[in-house]
Amino acid sequence: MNKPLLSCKNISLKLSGVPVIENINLCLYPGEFHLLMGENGAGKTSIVNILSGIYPCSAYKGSLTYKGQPLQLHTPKDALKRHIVTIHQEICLFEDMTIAENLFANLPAKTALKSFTSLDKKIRLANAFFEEHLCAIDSSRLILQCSPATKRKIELLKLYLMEPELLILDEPVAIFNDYDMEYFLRLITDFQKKGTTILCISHNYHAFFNRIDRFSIFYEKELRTTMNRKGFQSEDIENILLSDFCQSRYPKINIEKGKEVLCAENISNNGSIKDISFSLHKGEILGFFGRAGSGKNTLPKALFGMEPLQKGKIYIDRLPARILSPQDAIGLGLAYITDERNDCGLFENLDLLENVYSIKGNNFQHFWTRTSFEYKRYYKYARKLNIDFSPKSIPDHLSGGEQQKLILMRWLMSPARIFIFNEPTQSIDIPSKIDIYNMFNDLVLKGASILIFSSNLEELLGVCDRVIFIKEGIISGEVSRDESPEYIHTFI
Amino acid sequence: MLPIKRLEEIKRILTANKQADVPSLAQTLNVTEATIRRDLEKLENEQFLTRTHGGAVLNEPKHMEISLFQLSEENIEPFENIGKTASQFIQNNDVIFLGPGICSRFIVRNLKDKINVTIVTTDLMVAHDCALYSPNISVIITGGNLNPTTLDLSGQMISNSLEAFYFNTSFFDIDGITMNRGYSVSSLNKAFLIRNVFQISKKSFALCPYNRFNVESSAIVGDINMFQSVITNEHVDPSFKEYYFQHRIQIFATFNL
Repeated sequence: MNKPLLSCKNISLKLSGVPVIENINLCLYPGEFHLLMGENGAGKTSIVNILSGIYPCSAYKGSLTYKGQPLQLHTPKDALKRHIVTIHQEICLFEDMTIAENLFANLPAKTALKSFTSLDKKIRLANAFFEEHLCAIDSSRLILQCSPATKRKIELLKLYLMEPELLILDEPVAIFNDYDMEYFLRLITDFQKKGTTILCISHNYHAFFNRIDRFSIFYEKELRTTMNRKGFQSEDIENILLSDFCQSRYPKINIEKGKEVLCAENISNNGSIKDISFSLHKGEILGFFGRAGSGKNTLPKALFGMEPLQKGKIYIDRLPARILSPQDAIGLGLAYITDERNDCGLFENLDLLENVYSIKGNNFQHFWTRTSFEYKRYYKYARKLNIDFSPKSIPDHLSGGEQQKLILMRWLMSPARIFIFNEPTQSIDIPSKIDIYNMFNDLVLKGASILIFSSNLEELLGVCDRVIFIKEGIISGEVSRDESPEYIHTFI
Repeated sequence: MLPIKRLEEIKRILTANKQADVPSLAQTLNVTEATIRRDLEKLENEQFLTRTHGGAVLNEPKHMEISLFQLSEENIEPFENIGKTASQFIQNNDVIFLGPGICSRFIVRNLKDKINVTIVTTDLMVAHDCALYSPNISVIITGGNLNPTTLDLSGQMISNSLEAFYFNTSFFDIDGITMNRGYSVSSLNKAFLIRNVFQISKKSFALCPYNRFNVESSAIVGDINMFQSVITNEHVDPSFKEYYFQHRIQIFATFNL
């Protein structure tokens, strides 16, 4: 084969002490379509961020070679100069500018408009451009008025003006329906004809499966294999992904299920949840798995009263429950451990003690705070959970794992008995993961029940009694812990 | 109340509280204080108690046999937690092997509600605790030579009597774990026993309080990947947690919240 366009040698990256990827060796040949696969958190997006210059070359170890030259990127602009264009997982457009302005912003010299082009002209040009690509978008609108799918379409169409040589796509079609997919397929065909090299991360690759030349599998921060796609069926690949699973390494205690404590009947909101019913028993750990956009992220918030429900009923202890706000949920004994620890989990400006006692039920005396009783209780739990921090320090000093344990500590002190975890082990170190898995055991032994929403399927199969799969807002399947996972890929 | 009955009642109160004062004894037993004083004098002659001003203190028994069976009350929490976790893996109708050691003694204390469980052990203390706390369990003791200080058995007779068994689950107290030398215990006999039973068990657990990590003991049992499951408690060295997880070994580190 000819010379690689880009090669990565021994790339390792650590973020605040936690390794994110380790020893990645990856080659991209000119004109190929390369798919990256693997569970969330396996390190796919990190390698994309390195290639697009978001992590500067000083942040990681290892070397990049691009067109035979060493590649050192300091900013995303450096990558654009070398015609390495990235579409990120999140939409990166200027929200309060018009579509036309966004389309013509940051273009390379060849296709850029003259400076001081009037907005009217930009809109006219943009409308003509969209028509040319068979897409009816009114470019005088502001970006923030558009739906996520339209925003993504604009980003993708903009690529025609960017002239990429290496195109990196991180989950480009997660929010697309079948109809929108056609745009994406046409775009891929056009760029493949031009000979552009494409590196793509996607979970729903079935639509463009036969366009793929090679694929690589990421697993636990490492690149496991790279294979030629020819000769594989898409089911085979899912099985390769699943075959590496090891349930037995997760500490799991089987205890007898009690009576039903939580039941959801046909719940839906007017967005991503369409029709979901399930029941949770005392002492049970129930997992939910879903890809981005499946409603997996909205469901826990809806159960905890943070997202309004349109239809359906929730029963707690077999009594109909009205959960309109998190206060209602806490009153009913629910606890929600968020996936956005820094944004919604902890108060950055308060110290650890106040963070722990920030739920109403936790302090018995509402008037006096910082009593010796509070300190004693803090130290008792902190020693148990291995948090060696003074109650006066602030949450910024804690690692991801310690922050997660601190949030848990807050709920452990409260009388909660139904715990809802959203991505409990996202971006935390392995020892803390083990601690959290063991805490699940402790909680169920104490008679609590647990719901876990995660995008790490191996973890879910390892720690849960049952796993429910959500796809496009409805339940697509369910497996219990003892079942063999051969047919799981049909649910995903 | 008959005097003899009253003496027994005083004994019971003293054993429970370790000490008692005359007025409260008189009130509980509904007799005069003078009667109580006479009773205490009698019991002092039996060397059951020592009289003090206004009351009496229990003489702590100093018998060797009893102190052997009793554990010192300090530092038993780690063992209690390990015992609780381990007992979750014993199902009804199982045949279980419990290796010699304190952890095993705490496992049998949590088996009250199990049905038709058979326990095979080489440790007389484990048998004692089982009879005391979980009398519903049937206990089989292998024969062998008695070690007078630890009250566990060793020798050829064990191998002979173990031939008849295949265990659902076995639990072994480990005295030291290091990354390089793996699992080790304090005597060769014990190491030999563990290796033997390991072969005839469906599932084996290593029991190990956190303070025995990074400690070496004299006799090697096997390398660090020998056991598929390890039960310990919360303060385990994080590097072990990481190693075990990456090498697909279950580690239970209970918090007992």
